[in-house]
Amino acid sequence: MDQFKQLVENRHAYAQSWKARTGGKVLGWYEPYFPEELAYAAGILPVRLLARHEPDDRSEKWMYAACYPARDILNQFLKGRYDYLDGMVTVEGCQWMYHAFESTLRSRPEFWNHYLFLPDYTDAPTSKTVLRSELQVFQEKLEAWTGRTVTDADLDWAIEVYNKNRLLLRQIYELRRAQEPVILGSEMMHLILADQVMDKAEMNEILERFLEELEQRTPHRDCIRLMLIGSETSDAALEEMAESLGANVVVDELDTGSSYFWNNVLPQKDRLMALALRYLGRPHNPIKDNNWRRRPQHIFELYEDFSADGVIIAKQIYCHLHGTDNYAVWKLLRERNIPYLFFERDTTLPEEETRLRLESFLTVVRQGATHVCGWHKTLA
Amino acid sequence: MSKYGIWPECVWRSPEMNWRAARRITAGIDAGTTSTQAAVLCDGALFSYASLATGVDFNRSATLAMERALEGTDMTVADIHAMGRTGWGSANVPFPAQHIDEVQCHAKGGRFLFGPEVHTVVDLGGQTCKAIRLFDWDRVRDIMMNDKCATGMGRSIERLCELLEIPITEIGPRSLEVQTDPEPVSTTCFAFANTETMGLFGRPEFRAEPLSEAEVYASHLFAVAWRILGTIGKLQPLDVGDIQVYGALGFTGGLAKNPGITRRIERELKVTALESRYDPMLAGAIGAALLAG
Amino acid sequence: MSQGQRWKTRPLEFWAKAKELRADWQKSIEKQDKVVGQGNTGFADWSAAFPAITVIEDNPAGAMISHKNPPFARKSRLACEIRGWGREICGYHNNCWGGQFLGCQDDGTPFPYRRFVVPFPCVCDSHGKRGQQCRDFEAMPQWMADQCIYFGPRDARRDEPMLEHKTWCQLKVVNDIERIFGQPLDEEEYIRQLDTVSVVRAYAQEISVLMAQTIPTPLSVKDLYSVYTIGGLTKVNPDDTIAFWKLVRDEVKWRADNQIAAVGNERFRWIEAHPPSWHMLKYYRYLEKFGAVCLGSQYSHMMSGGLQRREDGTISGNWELEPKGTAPYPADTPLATREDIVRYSFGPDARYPYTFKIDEYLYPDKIVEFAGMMQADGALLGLWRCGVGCTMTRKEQAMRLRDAGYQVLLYEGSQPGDRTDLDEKQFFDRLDGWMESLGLERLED
Repeated sequence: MDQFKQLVENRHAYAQSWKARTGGKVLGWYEPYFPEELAYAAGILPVRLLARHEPDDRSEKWMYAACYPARDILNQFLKGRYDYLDGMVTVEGCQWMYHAFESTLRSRPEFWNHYLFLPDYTDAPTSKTVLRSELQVFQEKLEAWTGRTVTDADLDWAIEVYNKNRLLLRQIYELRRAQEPVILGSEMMHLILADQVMDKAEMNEILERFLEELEQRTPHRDCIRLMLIGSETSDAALEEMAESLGANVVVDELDTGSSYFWNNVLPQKDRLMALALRYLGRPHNPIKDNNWRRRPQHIFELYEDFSADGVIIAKQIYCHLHGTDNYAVWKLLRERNIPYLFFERDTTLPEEETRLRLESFLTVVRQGATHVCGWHKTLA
Repeated sequence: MSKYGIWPECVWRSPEMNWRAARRITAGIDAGTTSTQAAVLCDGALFSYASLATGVDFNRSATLAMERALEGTDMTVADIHAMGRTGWGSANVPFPAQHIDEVQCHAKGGRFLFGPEVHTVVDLGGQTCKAIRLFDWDRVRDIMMNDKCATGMGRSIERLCELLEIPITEIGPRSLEVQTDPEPVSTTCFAFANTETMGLFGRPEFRAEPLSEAEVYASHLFAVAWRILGTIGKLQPLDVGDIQVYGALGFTGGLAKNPGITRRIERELKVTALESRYDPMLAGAIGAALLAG
Repeated sequence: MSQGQRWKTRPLEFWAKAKELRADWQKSIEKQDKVVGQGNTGFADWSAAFPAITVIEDNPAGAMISHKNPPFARKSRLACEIRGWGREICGYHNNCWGGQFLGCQDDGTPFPYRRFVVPFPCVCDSHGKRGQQCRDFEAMPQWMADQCIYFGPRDARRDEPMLEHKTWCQLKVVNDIERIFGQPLDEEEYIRQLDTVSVVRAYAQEISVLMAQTIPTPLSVKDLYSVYTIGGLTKVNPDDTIAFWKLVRDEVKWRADNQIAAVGNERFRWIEAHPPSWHMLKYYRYLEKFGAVCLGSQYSHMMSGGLQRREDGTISGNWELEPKGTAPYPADTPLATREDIVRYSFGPDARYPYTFKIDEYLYPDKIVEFAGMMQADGALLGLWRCGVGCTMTRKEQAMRLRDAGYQVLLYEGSQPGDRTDLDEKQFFDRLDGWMESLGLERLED
């Protein structure tokens, strides 16, 4: 098992050992727009709450429908898997995750918590002022909680560590552009997931060593290049299945994937404003891509940049946000003659059913079906 | 177990073909979740086939289907130059055969069954519904498959026939006896959809007129047809307008033999599907045999 | 009074007027000479200040289509599904926008294609994403009326930038519409519309309180649902709106004073949560045959701004009852400029108008308070799989109500505007079981 997959699977043990080692607090976060730098500057370890593939045997009493990640995160809390957390925080975002956040709090009222508002209209001149104000409120609340003042120096340090982390992730990610990449999609996804549950300073050291290792690696053979988009995920089962069928996911547009680290904080004197601008300016997911509809174009640019041959759209059942965005995305892909495979995921990835779909799709892509429009590469 | 939900097994062999004169003999096995077909082709023409219900063991079902297809001929598996396997149980087929994915098999088999006119093949299988859009001779332009819940697939109709105690060969024609289709049953989960269908016989106080048996069948099969339409429709990049089907349409798979479903799809699409002189359940096996060759 | 009936009852007289106003609204949106836009009209009071603009929302249209024309609703949903919308998308959404794809409405007339859109982020994400569909379908001007939320007590410090943000967004909407469509905003009319909302709210609060306090209730929720969009989602002339709500209030009050029941056999009062299955409203009447009357939900009383129990035990709306100059529209707000009017429309609470939603989502036990205020005996709660805003916290509400001793029945469906996955027979079997378990036998038909 690769090191990053292990890190993801051992994330609870890691956080607990971090806590024992440093004496710091661990803060669980739900939504991808959470400005981790602020918590990190306060000496806290922010960890993304990731789902596991287990039956929702406890959350059923609390929650109806909802996407599987929301159900499962609540389930894990109810089972006590997150007992080591000191607090939890969410940002204005998907309603199912908010439901998980609220229900968890009602079942475990002892958790320190905060809800941070981030405008749905991200581009108004006033949006950044609102978010800056919210960051200020959050910072003060963190200070009161930890008993520690967050100084400019703390913020600068946290921003630097996080920027470096994003830069390293991007450096590794860029290697996937190669015709014969040295890293497979599954490994990259595990790496990004591990990054979201680890102390970034420690992770940066691992990533630096890993970059050196990659230089020595033999490239993987040329295979069908896929792009993965859709709802968030907490594993790389789909990437692994694609690899078993002779394909490689070379690029993604997932909240738990490339969108997590795609843009950096541009330092400025007003540190909170710098953070606000980073989060308002990141590649938007469907809930924040409200006004100018940048998401479909971003998907297309990634597809082109990484020379993908086809797109997999894997949406979580009951993810109404991706369910609504599909229309715009399908329309764009069809207009540009890009082959895509759409299907819904749930708690598990049914192996035979998914393999059947993927295998058929890969044959379509391999056949060069899209060569009808003249420009698309035909694969052998 | 009663046999209401099982299609009659069938075996056929070309009365006039001399397989020894063939330059190339190929075979295909489609090990589906509800039925298994084996087809043997001599120089690209159908020599024999067998279509049987799949039991609990894919391996045994595939073996049996091949044995039955070769029964009465003096051909053995060793005489077959190339074999293709496909379907849900493909991995369990015991013969040395090349695995070929289902969509390619149904595309190829669809062309065999319906000729060059067909551009949209819809496989109405036991577990999945696949809409396939073709270009060139047998190239696949686009595919779409049903979402997870099984109303709309053969397995659900089999179970319904067991519950209603009506032979699977009759439910379709009987459902077409209605003047106007009632609203389709609403439930998407096939287990609950069957319960809802059974419930249509009850609580007459909520209807001006109680539903007749034919209307109950119609309500269920209309729901199935409607879900299949959703799969077919996804092949169309339309902005305004109703579903249109690309080129001529051909149905394959077990539900293709249920006019209660196919006629309703045709009605909604305002088209007439192509007919084939072969059993539409053979498309996968024939496609596998052709592609293996 | 028929045999066995406990209370006098009689048909509602405001019905005729309600039908007339509803027809007026229908005519107004069918006029070809107006620019048609898409927005959340319940909160798009500004739209009334543009005389040649009609803003439509898909909620009432979607609910109505599901009730009036199930085959068209089904066809619309399919039209959406094949273009990519997931099966968890709200039925209101699909019923309405399917027509956009098919090119027609349920009566066969051409679909009123929108020429601009103002999506409104909502605590229901399905709702928030909805208006975007016009823009995804066809390029058109789009603005955003943002909605701010935080939890806990009001925080003036957080409110301030949020109110600035909301004001900027709202001014952008009206100023751009003026510029693009060449229509001047009638500021007097804008103020009038806001004041109308205040007056109507005051009447609505009285009605809600009368329903809560009076046994037998003078109005059931099925009656309330027949009129509750008038002046909000279905906007008509402000004078007519006020006159209508006064008429309703007067009649409900008279009925309460004279013990004229909505349901002559009232013996079990029940509440629900969120909208009913619009295609199948017969369950209200069905339960009335057992003497069970529905008092509505926090959702159906939202025109009142929600109810509260005062310290002295009496019940009132969440806001004070004076028609003008009350929260959320403070009387001392200067109204000299357009910006003033916009600020006036928001009031001092940045979270308005979703404060009632916050209560509901953040505090599922609020439903217990609501049940108490309504003097309810039980609750029938819908679990709407595809209506994210319609189903949040529902299971927790059921837990809280049960803990508090209320009789609770749950049922499952897709969404109030979508008949998918709502097995009618099973639903009515459940109702029978519920009534039987409560010892309530069916009374005469």
